[in-house]
This record gives sequence, C-alpha cells and structure tokens, in this order.
Amino acid sequence: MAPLQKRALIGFSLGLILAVLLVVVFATRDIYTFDTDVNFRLMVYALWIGVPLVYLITVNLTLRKPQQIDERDRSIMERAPKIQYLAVLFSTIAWVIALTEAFWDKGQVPVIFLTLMLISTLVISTLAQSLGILTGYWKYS
Amino acid sequence: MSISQKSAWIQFLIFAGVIVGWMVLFAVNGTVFYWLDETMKMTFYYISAAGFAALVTMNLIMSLLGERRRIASDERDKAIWRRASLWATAVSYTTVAILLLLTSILYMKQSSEAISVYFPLFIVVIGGVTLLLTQSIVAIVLYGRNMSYA
Repeated sequence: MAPLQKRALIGFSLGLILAVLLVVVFATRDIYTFDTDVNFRLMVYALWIGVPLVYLITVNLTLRKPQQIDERDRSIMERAPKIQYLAVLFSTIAWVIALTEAFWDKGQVPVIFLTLMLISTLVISTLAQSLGILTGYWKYS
Repeated sequence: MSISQKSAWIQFLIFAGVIVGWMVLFAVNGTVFYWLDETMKMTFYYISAAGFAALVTMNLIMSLLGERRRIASDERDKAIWRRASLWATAVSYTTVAILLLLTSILYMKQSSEAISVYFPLFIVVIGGVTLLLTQSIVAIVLYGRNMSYA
C-alpha cells in the first residue's frame, strides 16, 4: 500500500468516525438546543474542526515528504477533487430538497439548518477528498 | 480558437447573461427576495432555467460537432478545464459558505429564528452559477496565457 493511500485510508476512517459522532450528537439531542446550550455547540465545533484537521494531519504529512510521492500519486491527487465536487454537489441538493419538503407547509426553515448545512458540506467535502484518493488507487490496481 | 475555448466563451456569455438578468430583476423589483412576488419568482426561475438549458444545449452541440468533425480535445484542453474546475469549485464553495454564514448571522442578529423556505435553494443556485461562471472565466484566462499542458 502506497504511503499516500495508507494515510488517505486512516484519514477517511477517522473522519468517518467523527462524522458519525456528529450525526449521533445531533440525533440524541434536540436540534434547537444548539442556540441555547454552549456545551452542545462546543461539542459540535470540536467534531466539525476534527474532520478536516484529521485529513490535514494525515494526508498533508505525506505531501510534505516529496520522496514518498510519485507520478501516479500526483495524478490521483489531481483527480480526487472530482469525487469531492460531486459529493458536495449532491449533498447540497439533498439538503435543499429535504429542507424544502420538510418545511414547505410552514413556509419557513429554522436558521440553525443553514449552519448544519455548512458544517455537513465541509465534513463531506473533506471525507470525499480522502475517498477520491482511495478510489483513484482502486482504479489503478 | 479551439472548440473547447469556444465552449468557455459561450459558457461565460450564458452565465454572465444569467447574472445580468438577475441583477435587472432585483433592481426593477427593489429586492433580492425573489419569492415575495409571484411574477418575480417565476421570472427568476425562467432566467436560471434558461441558463442551465443553454449550457446543456451548448454541450450537446459541441459534442456533436466534435464527433462529426473528429475534433478531440487534446491534453492541453483537458489540463486547462481540470485547473478551471478546481478554481471554480473553490470559489463556489467559498461563496456558498459565506452566504450560509452571513444569512445565519444576519437573521440571528435580528432575533429571527427562521428564514424563508426558498432561501437554501437561492443560495445553492447562486453557488451553481458562480461555479460555472468561474470555470469559464478561468478557462478563458488560461487559454489566453497559452498554458502548457505539463
């Protein structure tokens, strides 16, 4: 397994665990307490920052060591954003459809959902970058 | 001018047209909240739909022309569009993130707990148009610079 592939796998696994934790945190609490409960907000922020941080630490460590990256790795890195772009595109479309359908009768969406949309998009974007790298290696093999 | 370069120019004209159309619509109605008036709402949708439909038509025509004349895009074209897509993605994500944050902050400051159900769609459509407009601008700039495909 190539160093970049290994790190992308670690980054994706840890990021996925943090993303699942984020979903669990929201699923087990009332979403509207985000505005009033400081501890809840801090927990969400920690998990939110955690995902891109894990990616930066794991994948970027490899990128700083040029001897660990060859032409194939570079080519995979260049193509990975395609997966990232599609994942973010479909997640935002899913958000828009879900929010429109869930709140259509009321005509208004709670503001907190915009923050959640932002958080989820950044988390998905980071996870999809790692997934793009892993898919690239899978296609090469 | 290659077929890919022409596509970049047409894409730019389409989405610059969409932005100009929106601006005129907002200026005439004195608001950006297009959902407040039924006619404005439908005009906003028609302008946006026309833009995306024009893009699809352009891509179909370019693809048919390319096949008929056996013009394939070369490595340089691919490298330019790849780089343009990277820039477009970064710019549009940043735009959407800023709009989501700004809207949340502004509404919370006004002690308002809810926004119109049309707002998320509005932000995502702006993001989509930003993506395609930025992609065409960056591609035009890179073609102008005569970028090497290395």
